[in-house]
Amino acid sequence: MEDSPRFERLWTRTVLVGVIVLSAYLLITEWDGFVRLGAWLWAGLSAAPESLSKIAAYYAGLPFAQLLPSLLIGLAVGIGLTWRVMREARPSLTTLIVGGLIGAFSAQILSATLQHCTYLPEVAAAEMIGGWVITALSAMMFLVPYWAYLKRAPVSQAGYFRQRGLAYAFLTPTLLSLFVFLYYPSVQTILLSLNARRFPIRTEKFVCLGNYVSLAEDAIYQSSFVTTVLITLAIVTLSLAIALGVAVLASQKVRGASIYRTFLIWPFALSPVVTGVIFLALFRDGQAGLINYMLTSGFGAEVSWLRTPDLARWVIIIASVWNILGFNILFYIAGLQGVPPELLEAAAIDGANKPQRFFSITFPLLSPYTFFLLITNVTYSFYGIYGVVDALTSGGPPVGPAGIFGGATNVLIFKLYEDAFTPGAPIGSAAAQAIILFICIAGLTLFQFRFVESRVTYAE
Amino acid sequence: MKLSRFFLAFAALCAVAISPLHAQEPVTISMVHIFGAENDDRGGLIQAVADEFMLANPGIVIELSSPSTDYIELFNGALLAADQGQAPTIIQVEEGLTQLAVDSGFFLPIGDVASEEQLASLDDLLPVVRDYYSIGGTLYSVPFNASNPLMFYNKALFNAAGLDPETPPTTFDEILAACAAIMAAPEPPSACMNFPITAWFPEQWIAMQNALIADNDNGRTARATAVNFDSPEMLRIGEWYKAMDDAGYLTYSGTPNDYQGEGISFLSKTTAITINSTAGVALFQRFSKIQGIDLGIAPLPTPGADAINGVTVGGASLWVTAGGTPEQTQAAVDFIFFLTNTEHDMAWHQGTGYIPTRISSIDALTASGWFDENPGFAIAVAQLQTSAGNVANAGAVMGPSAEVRGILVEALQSIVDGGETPADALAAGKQRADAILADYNAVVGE
Repeated sequence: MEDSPRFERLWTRTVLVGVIVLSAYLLITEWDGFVRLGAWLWAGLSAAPESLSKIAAYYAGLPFAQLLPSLLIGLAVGIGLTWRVMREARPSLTTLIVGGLIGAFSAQILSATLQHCTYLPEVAAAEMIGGWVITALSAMMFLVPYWAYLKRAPVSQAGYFRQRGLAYAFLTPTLLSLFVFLYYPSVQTILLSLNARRFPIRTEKFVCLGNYVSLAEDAIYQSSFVTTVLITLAIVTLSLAIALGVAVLASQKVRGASIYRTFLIWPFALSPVVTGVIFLALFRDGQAGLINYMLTSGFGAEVSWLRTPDLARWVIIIASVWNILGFNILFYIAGLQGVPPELLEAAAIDGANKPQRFFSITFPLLSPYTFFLLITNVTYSFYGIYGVVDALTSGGPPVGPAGIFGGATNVLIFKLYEDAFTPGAPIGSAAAQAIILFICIAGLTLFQFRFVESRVTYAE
Repeated sequence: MKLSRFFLAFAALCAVAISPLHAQEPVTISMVHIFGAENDDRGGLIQAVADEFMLANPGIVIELSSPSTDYIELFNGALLAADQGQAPTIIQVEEGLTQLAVDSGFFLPIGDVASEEQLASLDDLLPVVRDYYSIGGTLYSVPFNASNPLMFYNKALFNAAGLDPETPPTTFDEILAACAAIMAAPEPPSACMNFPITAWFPEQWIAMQNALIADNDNGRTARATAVNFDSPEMLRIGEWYKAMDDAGYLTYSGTPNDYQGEGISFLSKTTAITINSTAGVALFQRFSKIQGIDLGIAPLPTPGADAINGVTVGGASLWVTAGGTPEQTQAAVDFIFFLTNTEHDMAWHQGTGYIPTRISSIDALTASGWFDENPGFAIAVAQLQTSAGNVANAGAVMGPSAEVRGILVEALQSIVDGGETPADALAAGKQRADAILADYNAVVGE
């Protein structure tokens, strides 16, 4: 009965009707929003001719000496990398020249965004080199799709969608929301990072890469960077090690194991801010904190947890580890259940003791989980601990007189948030920090995929 | 065909039904404030006044809301909404955001849009309150909820130390002496004194010494370009923090600006003296009863007997945003003056503990014997009344004041936690703050 075409047709229609009803409901209740979104998109589209003429006017007024380096770099990157990528296919001269042209064109995207300011004669060395890198990266933006096109599989081998129109119709909602909530804000952030602006005042001044250069020279930002790296290392190491240990214990066959597991996962259900508030209640000074209250009643001494730079860092680390531990335990428990018992049994028969079995069989088999958790934990340590820091230390205690060397727990994401949303704070610099933070995370993730994943064994 | 005709008829009917409403469409204005927390009666007090106003002015609808209980979030949110053309008509703005609000260009100065009669009624304001919200001679907003710091102390611990609980210390030196006695008592508290590490108290102590926080008359004749953190007056304050900390008399929760945490520490009897806002008087009194503390309330201590210039005013004021129709602006101004008139000023004080801002309401409250029953409030009001209305206790206004205040906090933290000398810490703080002011002024310009 269930497999009958009639049932299938009924089922499909029910789903279709459900989708239509839901969409209609969304459309009606959020009508104003859709109207505004439509108006906004339309305004953007209808401004396109004007923008094009602006761009034309910009290039008409641009000194050739300022334009030339970006064209040359784009051309060189286009020809050089196309040759390198397509080496084995022995690319024709035309392929290389098209690559060069695409590179030169694509290099203009970010160069024009920067108003070619890094190619001004009087620019500082750091900004000039930064400009080269950005131009080269910009050249890649159209080169990568070009290479993918050159390397595409023949039509006979590739899967394809019969009805192209339908495929794009299905893609539209995703593309639209990606555009509205991801691409557009990203472009805005890049533009903002090239301006000096004080939130929430609208006046802004174009400063080229000035925000990036002053961040690189800022002692407070440097210390924030080092602090973030140290705290990340500690959080990731501790949270993975402890989670693995706890997961092994929680996987033992004991009565009520599922209850223990639920309790172990529970801290992850709390947001970082709540975690911070809980740990604040524990570590506060002046006997308002539980731990100091116990220390004073028991030993007559109290420790200034949040007022000593190193201790404050450890409190942040412990709170964050506690917060994310449940997430790691969840994955490790799942992973441990996937370890085939016959392998362990065979090893036991061969005379391997428990630690040997764990390190030679279980741990390597868990490596896909460890790899996944490594990436998510690094991301959490970079982005997720804002709430913990905000509730516990607000980035303090200051290091050096009046904090000229930064704050002991002033991690990058906290500094970024403060600079973006404190009234009167430099939001242009905050945008630059957001870009740097993004590059860090993207770079770390790429690095992990390249060098760590090669050691990962995925099960069949 | 039939259907469309039916639709036309229906539409016409609707239009007819709606049109009389259109003919006398009310003027709708909105106001945002921070008193929206659950169990916060203060929002209800404002609502009651709004209801009264709407009853008297049937053509006006006031929509009150509280999108955030945090001044900074409220300000940011309202200004971002203004960017989208959806600004609330009236915004409650914290005192520290004054210059930024002026520079943002989102607001109409009250002095430009209020009637002669309304402005004349402001002569009734306490001078120190009125001065805070005037910049370059223009009154930008109408003060609403005013507060200042007070000293709270535990009388039992004073008795135990052989001190007279009815004559609490009034200067830095007297506090050091009192603390020496308190910590020498047989069962001393874990520290003599605690208070939030914040910029607000040092700002008071600078004003009391008739000194300035920033140049250009505290940023009031032109934008501030430099702070005076290295002045002898500020150094005197820094030295006192250091003396208190070195002797083990001072403690704090480890989190700056933790008014609540410091209040808890004091109310759990771990310290003998604390400083907090007048806005906390009612809470201190209520929890002292529960905790069995004989609570003493005294004016904010001064740096010395010579520091007699008085305190500055804290709290928030009401601002009218630009971009409304003339009718909306008019209604907003009228409502602000209605909300802050003598009658409502008195009710607001009695309901919330914020200081009354009008001389006439203080006089009426005094006559009714209110201050005799509530000595804590009497102290706060008396403290503000003694303030000479001059540029020092008008307080400093700076665009990036949140950042500059943060740096002062870090300078003080590095004195009490980092072991830096006050001179080094305050000089380094000045260096950081001046760089920020220079950068702000370069961007915001004229």
